[in-house]
Amino acid sequence: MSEFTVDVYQNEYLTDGAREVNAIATVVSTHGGAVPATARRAEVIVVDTSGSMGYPESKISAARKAVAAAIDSLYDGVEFAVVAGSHTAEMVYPPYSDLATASEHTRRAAKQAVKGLKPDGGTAIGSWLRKAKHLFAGRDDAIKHVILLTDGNNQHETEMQLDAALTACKGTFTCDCRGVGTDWKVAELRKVAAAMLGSVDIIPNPAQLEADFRAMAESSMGKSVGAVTLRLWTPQGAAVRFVKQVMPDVADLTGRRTDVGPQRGDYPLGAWGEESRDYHVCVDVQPGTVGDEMLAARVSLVAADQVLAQGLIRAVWTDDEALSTRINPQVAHYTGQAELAQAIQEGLEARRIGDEDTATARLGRAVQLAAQSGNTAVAELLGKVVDIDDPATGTVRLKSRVSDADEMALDTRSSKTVRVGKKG
Amino acid sequence: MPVCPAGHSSATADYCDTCGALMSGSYAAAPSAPADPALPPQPAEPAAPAEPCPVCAVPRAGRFCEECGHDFDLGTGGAAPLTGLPAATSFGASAPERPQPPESPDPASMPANPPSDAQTPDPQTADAEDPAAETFAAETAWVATVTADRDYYEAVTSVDDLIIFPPYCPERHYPLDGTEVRIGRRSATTGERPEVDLSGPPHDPGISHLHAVLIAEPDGTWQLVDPGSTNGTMLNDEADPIPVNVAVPLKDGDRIHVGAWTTITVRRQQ
Repeated sequence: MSEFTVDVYQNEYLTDGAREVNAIATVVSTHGGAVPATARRAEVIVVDTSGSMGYPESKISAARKAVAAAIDSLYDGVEFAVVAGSHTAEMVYPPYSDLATASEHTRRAAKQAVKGLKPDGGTAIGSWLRKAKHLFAGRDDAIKHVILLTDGNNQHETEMQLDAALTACKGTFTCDCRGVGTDWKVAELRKVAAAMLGSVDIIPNPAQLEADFRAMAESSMGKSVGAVTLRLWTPQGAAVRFVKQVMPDVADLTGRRTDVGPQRGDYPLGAWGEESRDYHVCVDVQPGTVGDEMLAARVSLVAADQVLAQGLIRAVWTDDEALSTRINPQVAHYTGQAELAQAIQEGLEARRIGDEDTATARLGRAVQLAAQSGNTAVAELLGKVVDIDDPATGTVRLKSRVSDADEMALDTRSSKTVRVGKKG
Repeated sequence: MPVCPAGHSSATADYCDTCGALMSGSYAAAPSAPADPALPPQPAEPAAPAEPCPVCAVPRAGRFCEECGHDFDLGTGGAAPLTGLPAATSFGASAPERPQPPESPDPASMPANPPSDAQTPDPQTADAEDPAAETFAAETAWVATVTADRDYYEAVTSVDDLIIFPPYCPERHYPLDGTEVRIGRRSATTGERPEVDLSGPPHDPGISHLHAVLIAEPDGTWQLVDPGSTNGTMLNDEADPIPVNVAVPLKDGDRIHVGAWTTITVRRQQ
């Protein structure tokens, strides 16, 4: 069984009458030994086989290899299926609508079936997700994961149909999404990944697919605890401003809250392996006077109704300005990282609609934030979209020619964050 | 179960699981009369930041202040005028010195308690009727007080009526504001709820869903209109109901009789 710890970083000192309490909760899970073989896992690989996957031909052949690599990474005993997604969802392996149990024999049979994948038809991501949900039915105690690969827009269903599918599937499994090529919409796939508590990334070059699929499948095999939730207790009269995941990427969880009793709400976090994630919690409490101390929030990690770990977010009112004006480095860092993601997304949107002034200003701010926080990965991607004159002040010029792949890579990876102290 | 300095019984021992107060350390002593753990828990409203009580600054959790009993709707009551103790200036700061106030007479929770002696005025009622009581509204405020009225009941019902006079009925106060105040019973089918909701319990069977309406006049006074209730609306000692759809001006102290035993007294407060 994994062991969880919660560490809270905050400046608990507030001036007289202040009410906003900010804290970063770092959640770390470590395995007490080897990965437990007891946890049941189910994996569905959905690969886009729409007509466009045949142009260029390298896309579909790379997809076949990538799916085969993912199948090879499945542990014995994992229940799995491969689904071909077009305007409908068709079974590839097993040939009937169910999950197969991974073994030497079934893995080989599955890889054989994948070789026959042919590009034909349209794209309807919602129907693929519904198919996965149907395949997972009856496996409530398993850790359920979907790998979804697409190369195009969700053309063959309406946005409403996709939203309805997401609502239906939410909470039943997690889904990592990959876009290959540059003909898919970042916002669309990001919406799917966010709703299904998974990641989204771009694979501009089909040749990189195989390695990425293997990594995703391996990461999925490393998950040992399914359906972890963050339970937040707040005192009477308090209001939760937001709860955001801020590491490894930025994801706003505020709207995902389910109330579980008076003053308590649960935020789903998906499945956990051996990893570490950071959360930014912001709560408004009833202001106290100098000398008062209160608990502003209790952060608990809950799985299967068991509290695995908890952290306390406190508020202490003081008249010592040296204490109350101190800025917590973690809170400041992640506030900056969240702003960085927003600045990039707004900047790229402005660039798309031809508003060059806004685009320059927002992307300049992004360059500045990336440089200050040492987020070199994002800084590098920014460098492909703007010419950077001075990163310290955020003075930039928009590049006149930017490849679609570079722009989409920056957009999808804009929410990737780094830890405090990794100064580039 | 540990009890926090504000009197909440808490399942957690480090900080109170209701208000978040530190259970020990900066607070010297526990209150002398801890809250009764058998009382129903207060409904929590985590989403909306509560307005602070103007008397003791404790966040609002319902109509009455949990700390001092101040009535938020009427702007009356509270620890300072009742007990003469200096008003608490901050959240929980003076809680340890002061005994817990009596449980607020929340109308929703009253029927569950054993009926109290109807002759004993509760602190809020006494306060509302006391001309010296502090009110927090600067301008003239009108308040409607709903009571079960035995004189009226005996005047309008005969001995073979099956309607009995309720042995217990809490007095209810409604501050009049806005441009109109509807009097009636809430409807389970439409979800309509009049401002003065006489649904009970106890239930007065003679009241229509929309029985009467109070309409504000520009000069601050109010008029009474019966839009066509089934059993009519009587004013003061008149034997006949007021005419339907005719506005009747109200004076301070007027008694509006509706149903079989309900009397609404309107009073003007300074």
